[in-house]
Formats: sequence, C-alpha cells, structure tokens
Amino acid sequence: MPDERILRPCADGVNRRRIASPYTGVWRMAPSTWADPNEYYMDNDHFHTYVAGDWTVTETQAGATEALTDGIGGQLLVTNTNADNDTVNMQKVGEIYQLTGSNQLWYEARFQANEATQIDLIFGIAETGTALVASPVDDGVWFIKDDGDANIDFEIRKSGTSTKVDTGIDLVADTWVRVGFYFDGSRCHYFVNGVELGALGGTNLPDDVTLRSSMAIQDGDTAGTIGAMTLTVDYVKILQEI
Amino acid sequence: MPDERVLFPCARGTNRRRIGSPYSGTWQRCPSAWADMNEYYGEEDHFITYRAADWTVTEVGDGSGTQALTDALGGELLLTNSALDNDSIEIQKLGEAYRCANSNQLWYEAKFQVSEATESDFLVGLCITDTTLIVSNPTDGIFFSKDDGAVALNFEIRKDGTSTAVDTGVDVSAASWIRAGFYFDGTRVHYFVDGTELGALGGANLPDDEDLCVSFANQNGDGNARTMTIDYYKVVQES
Repeated sequence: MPDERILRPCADGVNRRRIASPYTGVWRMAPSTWADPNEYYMDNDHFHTYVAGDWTVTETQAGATEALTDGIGGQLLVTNTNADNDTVNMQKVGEIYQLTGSNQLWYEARFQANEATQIDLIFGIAETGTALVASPVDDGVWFIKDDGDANIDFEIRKSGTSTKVDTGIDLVADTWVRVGFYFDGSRCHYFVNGVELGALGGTNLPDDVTLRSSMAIQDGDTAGTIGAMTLTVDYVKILQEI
Repeated sequence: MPDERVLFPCARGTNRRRIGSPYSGTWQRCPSAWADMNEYYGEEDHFITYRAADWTVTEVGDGSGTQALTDALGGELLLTNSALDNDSIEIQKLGEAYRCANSNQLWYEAKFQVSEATESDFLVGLCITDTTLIVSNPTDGIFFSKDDGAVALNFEIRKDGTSTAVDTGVDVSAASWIRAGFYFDGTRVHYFVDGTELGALGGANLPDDEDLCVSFANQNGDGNARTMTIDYYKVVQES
C-alpha cells in the first residue's frame, strides 16, 4: 500500500499528497496518480483517436494529411507534400500551460521522421502561431531540428529572445526519439531518450504567457528529390501542477 | 512502489484492490487509482478539449449564446448567455451514468465561477435529463444552486420532485472560483465547498432510483449576458 499520508513538497512549497513516481528521466519527479483534480491536470495523447477539431492545423500546401496510422500504441502520421518549405503546423486548441508560480510541468513526445537532415521539426509548448518553423513565436519551450543538419536542439524563448543549445543528440531517419523536459519551478531540464542532458533557465524562460502543445514539420529539400516527408507521432504527454 | 495487494473494504462490504486516497475534503475516501474497470468508473474533464457532441446543450435566448474553450491555465469552458433576462444555457453530459444507490460510493467535484453573484441563477451537479434545470428543477438530482436575487450557495437532494435543500452558508462572489463537491457514502451525501465539509443530507429525498448525468446551468437574472466558466469537474463511482 502506498503511503500517501506523507506530504511531498512541490516546487511552489505547497505540500501535495500524491503517489510519487519511481521513474528516472523526465518523469522522475512526476506523480503517477492523484485523486484531487485541483492538484494536477494532464493531456496524455497516444493517438488511439485523432479529432481534428482538437487541433489548429496550418498547412502551407494542398495535399498534406494528418491521420491515424496502424502502429503499436496508436500513431499519428503527418505527411507533407514534396516542395521545399512545405509545412504542417499543429497546435492543440487552448493555451493552457504556463511555466510560472513554481508549478512543475512535465513534457514528453515520442516521434520519428523519414528524413534526418533535409527537414525542420519542432516539438514542445508554444504560444499561438501558425508558422512555428518559419517565424518562431515569441514565447515557448521546444525541441527543434533545423534544415541542413541532424542536431536536436533545445530552446527556451521569451519575448522573442532565445537561449538555445545543441543537445548533442542527432536525429536518425525512421528511428524513434523521445524528447522531454521537466520544469522544476525555475529551470527546464531537457532529456532525449530519457537521459537528462542539461537545463536552461534565466531571463529567457517564458514565464509570463500561456502556451499550447505544439508540433511542426517542414520540408527542407530544395531540390524536391526526396519526396513527401513524414512525421509519425507516437504520443505527447504533458502534466502540470496547479 | 505502491502495494496494491491490500484489499480495502468498500461501502457495501465488498473488498476492492485500490490505491487508497489520503485526501481530506471531497476526495477523502476516493481511490487514487485502480486497475479493474469493473470496480470503479468515472470521468475527469479539465476542458483541455470540448466536444459539443458529448453534451446536450439547451439555450434559451436569441441564439447568440456560446459554449467554447477559453485560453486559461488548465483549460476552461466558457458558457456565455445571450442578453435578456432569464436567458440561459444548460449543458448535460450525454448518458445518465451515475446513481446513488446500492451503497455504491460516489464522489463529485466541480470548480467553476460565474460573472455575477446576485443577478443570476445557476445549478451545478448531477441531474436526471431535463431541459429546464433552473426554471423547473429536475425531478431527481443532487446539486448546488444559487437563486436570482441572492448570493447564497445552496445544496439540494431531490427525488420525484420533492427536495431537501440547505443553505451551505457560503456566499457566491462574482468572478471567484468555487469548488463544490459531494461524497455519497452509501447512505448520505456529504457536501463540501472549497474542500470543507459543511454537512450531509439523506433520507427520503435521496434520488436512489434514477440515473443522473453531469449537469451545468446558468441563467441571467437581469438583462445582461452572464457567464459561467468551468475549470473542471470530476466524478468517480463505485461499480
């Protein structure tokens, strides 16, 4: 029997009863379960279903698709068309997360793409924007892979100014990657495939705006020889302390 | 790691494996988690999404009333009435899925606010399907309500058109969050506001022979468009 009588200190100094997670990695400090809905909220989407109306989808070209695909656990397949800079930009409806008040937040997404270099990708939480790759929004926390290299970078951005680091991990085509971060109340610890690689905080932490679950794919193949690029998303999970 | 091997007695004497909750307030005896879906069921909606098709929506007014997600921490649903006196919006989740009977425990809590404390009516709780929740209360239900012209938050159990109702002693303030919850222990319904138990009702007017659904209603008390904002609701029931 778990001993939930023990009050566990949370980042904002408010003790909450919860069953603590024994995990390492992103979920190390996350509660596994809780009864009181006034303590945490969560969006845990394994894409067993996909309701287009839950997302704001911006496509720069006709012919792009977003649809469930057969895959263990449920997967969302985003398919671009073949021209350079074709983009699919997806944001979950509702700016409902904020890195403030020392309320902890956990984020992780698992995905793969069919191309490692000639593609741009973004995964994270961001304020509303319809061109996350071409015109980054002023505020957000995200992983980004730029066209022309395979580096997975991690970025925090506030009021249009960023702190950005190369995680040291490269994207590999057709290979699952898990990217996640944990906001401990002051800094964002970033993880790739469950391994903590560093933490960012300070003046560029976007602590004064609400943010949306966001992801984007953009074709980077100027010659158009690679063909339509695809992004397959296994899950996105976000948990925030109230 | 939690040890779920320990069996916990439930209200009707059936032992169930569960991770027990140590909470005070509404969730005092509620399980935090369980594996067997034949032991509990429930729903927890923080309005991260809103699908109109999941609800029966009844609007009184000129058709300009709205129900929509609004940007806010945690997700919120905003109900906005049209602007005449007694215009209203009522929403009920499809499916009468809950019943306070057979000693099956039930937990309910909603966190919400209204834009006006006095010149409005509202109702929040579990009710039988009904499209006039405020004008003529449902025949059966367990709910919190506030009457036009008053700020008192009332709690009521109602069976076959007859009620037992009490003033919780808590007054509603405009644009201020309220957590209204109740816990059915198998016999009586304990009611809570902002996590504090304020009393319990039971007896002849406990609606134990009807299935109930999640219900929200908000009605103007004057010629201004009033709003209700719902942060979340959660219901857990023993099977």
